[in-house]
Amino acid sequence: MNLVAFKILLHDKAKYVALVLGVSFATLLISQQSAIFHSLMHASTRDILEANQADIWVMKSSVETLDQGYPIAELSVNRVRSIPGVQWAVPYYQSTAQLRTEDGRMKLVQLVGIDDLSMVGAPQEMLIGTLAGFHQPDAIVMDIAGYTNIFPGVEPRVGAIVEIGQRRAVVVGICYIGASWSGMPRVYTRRSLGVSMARETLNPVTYVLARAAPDHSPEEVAKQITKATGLKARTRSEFMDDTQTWILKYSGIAENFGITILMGVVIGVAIVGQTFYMFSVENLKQFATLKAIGINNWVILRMIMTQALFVSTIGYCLGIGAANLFFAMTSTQLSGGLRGMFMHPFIFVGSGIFIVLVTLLACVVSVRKVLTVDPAVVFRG
Amino acid sequence: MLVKFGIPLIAAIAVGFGIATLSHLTPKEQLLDAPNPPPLTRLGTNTISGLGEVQMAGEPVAIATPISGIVSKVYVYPGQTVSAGEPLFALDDRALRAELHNRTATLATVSAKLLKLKSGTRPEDLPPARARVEAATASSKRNEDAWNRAKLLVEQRALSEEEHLARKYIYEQANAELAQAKADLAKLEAGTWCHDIEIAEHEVASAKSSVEQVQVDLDRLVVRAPVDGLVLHVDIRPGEFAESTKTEKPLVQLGVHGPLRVRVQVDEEDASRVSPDARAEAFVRGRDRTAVELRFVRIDPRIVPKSSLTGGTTERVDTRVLFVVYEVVGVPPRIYAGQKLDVFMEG
Repeated sequence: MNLVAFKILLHDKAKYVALVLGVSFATLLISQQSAIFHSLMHASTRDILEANQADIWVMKSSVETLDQGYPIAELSVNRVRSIPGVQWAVPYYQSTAQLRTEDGRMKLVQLVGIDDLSMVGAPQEMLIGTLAGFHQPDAIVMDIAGYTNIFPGVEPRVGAIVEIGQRRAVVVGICYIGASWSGMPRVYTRRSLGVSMARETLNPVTYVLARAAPDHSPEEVAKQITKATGLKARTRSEFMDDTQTWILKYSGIAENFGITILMGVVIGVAIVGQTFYMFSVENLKQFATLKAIGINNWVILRMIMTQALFVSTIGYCLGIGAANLFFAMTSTQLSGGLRGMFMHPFIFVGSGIFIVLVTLLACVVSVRKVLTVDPAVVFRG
Repeated sequence: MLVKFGIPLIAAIAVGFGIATLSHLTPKEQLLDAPNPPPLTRLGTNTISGLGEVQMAGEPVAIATPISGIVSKVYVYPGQTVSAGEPLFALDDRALRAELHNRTATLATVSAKLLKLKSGTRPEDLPPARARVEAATASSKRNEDAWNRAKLLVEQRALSEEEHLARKYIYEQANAELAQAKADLAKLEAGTWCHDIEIAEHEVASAKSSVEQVQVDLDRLVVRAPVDGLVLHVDIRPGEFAESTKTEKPLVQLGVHGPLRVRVQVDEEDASRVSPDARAEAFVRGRDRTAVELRFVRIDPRIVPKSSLTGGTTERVDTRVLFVVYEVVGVPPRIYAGQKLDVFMEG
C-alpha cells in the first residue's frame, strides 16, 4: 500500500516539488534564524569564550554583564589566590580606547589587557605572528576583522604603527576572533601596557580570572571567593548565562528574533498545511477509489502519514542543507558580522523534529476530509 | 525519474552537507591550560598571597648633601661596594680653600706676635738704659756736690741764700731723673707683662679655631658613605648643582649588604591569617618563574594605605595593607632590589 501512497504523491510532480520546497523553506527560515539568534547570544560572551583557561570570573559585585566590567584593586588578585581551592588567579583588564592611525583616522576599539606572564585570555587563533610577540615593546595584537576595518584595503601584515590613548602601539600579530556583541575592533595587549593605553587613573584590574584546583568544583570555589572577599565570583558558565540574560533583558534582540522565528513557524505551518490540504483534497478521488475497493480508514491514514513523513523529511533535509550552506559561506569569513556563526546541534535536530511534527499536524487536519469521504464520489463522474 | 530519485538524492546530499558543516563549525567548548601557567605554590592549598618587593638587607640609605653647591667629582658608580667613610662625591671647594689660605695667614701673624712677646725685651735696649742711669747718677752726684758747697758758702756769707736754694732744687731734680732712669731700666729688665702674653695666646687660639672651622667646612664638601654597603643608584654628575634642601630625590642611594629581603603587601582582610611560623615562598615574575625560598623576619606592626605597585598608574587608596618582611634563604637566583615577586604564605 505504501507503494500506492508514493505513486499518488509523485503523480503530480509540480505539486510534489511545491510541497517539498514549502517545507524546506520553512525549515530554512526557522533553523537559520534560530541559529543566528543563538550565535549572537553566544558571541555576546566572546571574552569569556576566548579566555577558556579560566573557569571562575571574579568581579566587582555591581557587575551584571561582561562588557560592564568595573576596575577593582590589584591586590584582589592576591586575595583570590589566598582562597583554598584556587589553583591560580590572574588579572584581566578590559576597556575601550581611542585608536588613531598614522594618517589621523580615529576608531574606538575594545582593549583587552591579558596578564603579562601567564597569557591567560590571549587569542586562541593567531593568523600572523605568535603569542611571544606580546613581549615586544608597545606590542598589540589586532583581530583580523578589526584590522580590515581600521586599514581597509591593506594586506594584513605585522608592523603597522598606531596610537592608542596617545601611546605608540605596534601591531605584532593578527588573530582571528569571532563576532562580538559590540562589534568593535579588538586589540589585545599586555595588561601593564593596556592600562596606560586606556589612560587609566583608577585600578587596572577589571576581572580576576581563576582556575579551580582539579579536586574542587568551580561552583564551590566561586562561592568561597564570594564569601571571603566580598567580590562577586561566577563560574564561566554562570557568567555566560548572566551576560546573555542581561542582553536578553535590556536589548530588543529576543523580541526581534522571536518575531522572525515565529513568522517562520507561521509561514511554514501555513505553507505546509495549506499545500497538504489542497493535495489531499485534489486526491480525494483516488482515496475514494481505494475506499470503494474496501480499504479501511486506518490504512488510508497510514498512507497519508507516510506521504507527510516523506515530504517533511525530504523538505527538512533540503532546508537544513540550505541553512548550513549559508553558515558554511558566511561563517568562515575572517571578518564581517556573521563570522563564526554556527548552528547548534540542538537547533539542527530540533528544527527537524518541529517541522515533521508541524507537517504531521497539518496532514491530520487535512486528512479529516479523506476519512469522511463517501466512496460513491468515484461513481458520480 | 529525475523527480522520483533526484529529489531524495539531493535531500540526502543536503543533510549530509549539513551534518558535515555542523560538526565543522560548532566551536569546541573545553577548558585549556594557560599558555604560561601562573606559578603553583608547593605550600598546599591554604595559602595567603601577597605582592612582594625585593629590598637590600636594611632599609635603603638615601644620601643628601649637607651644603648646597656644584658637584666637582663623583667617586662611585652604581653597583660599587663601598665601606664606611669612603668618599661618594665632592662639591666645589675653591672658595673655601681661599678662605682657608687667608685664615692660615692670620694665624701665622698672631702666632709670631705671641712669640715676640714671649721672648721679652730686646737685649740691645738695655745698655742705653743703663747708660742713662749712669748719666743720671753722675748728674745727681755733681749737683749734690754743688749744693754741699753752696751750704758752706752760705754759712760764710759768700753766697746768697737764693743761689743756695737754686742749687738744692737742681740737685733734687737730678735725683728724680735718676729714679726715672732706674725705673725704666728695671721695666726693661723685667721683660713682657704676663697679661699681654695671655691676650696674645687667646688671639692665637681664636685664629687656630677659625682655621679648623674652614677645614671642617672643607671636609663637609666631601660626602662619605655612612655605612658599608652597595651603591644602588647615583643621581648626580660633576657640574650639577646639589641642593641641600631637596630631599625627595636622593643623590646617592646605598643598600646595606646582607641577604636580600622581600617586603610583602598583604590585604588587611587577610592580615589576621598571617603567622610568623608559616612557611613562605616567592616566585620571580619572569618567564621561568624561579621559586625563591623565604625566611620570616618580622611583621610591621602597622597597617598602612596601599601605595602604588603597578607602575605608572596612580592607584586609588581604597585598601590598606600589612607589610610582612622576609629574608631570602640561601644563594638567591638573579633577583635584584626593587624586583616584584608573587609571594605565597601558608595560611
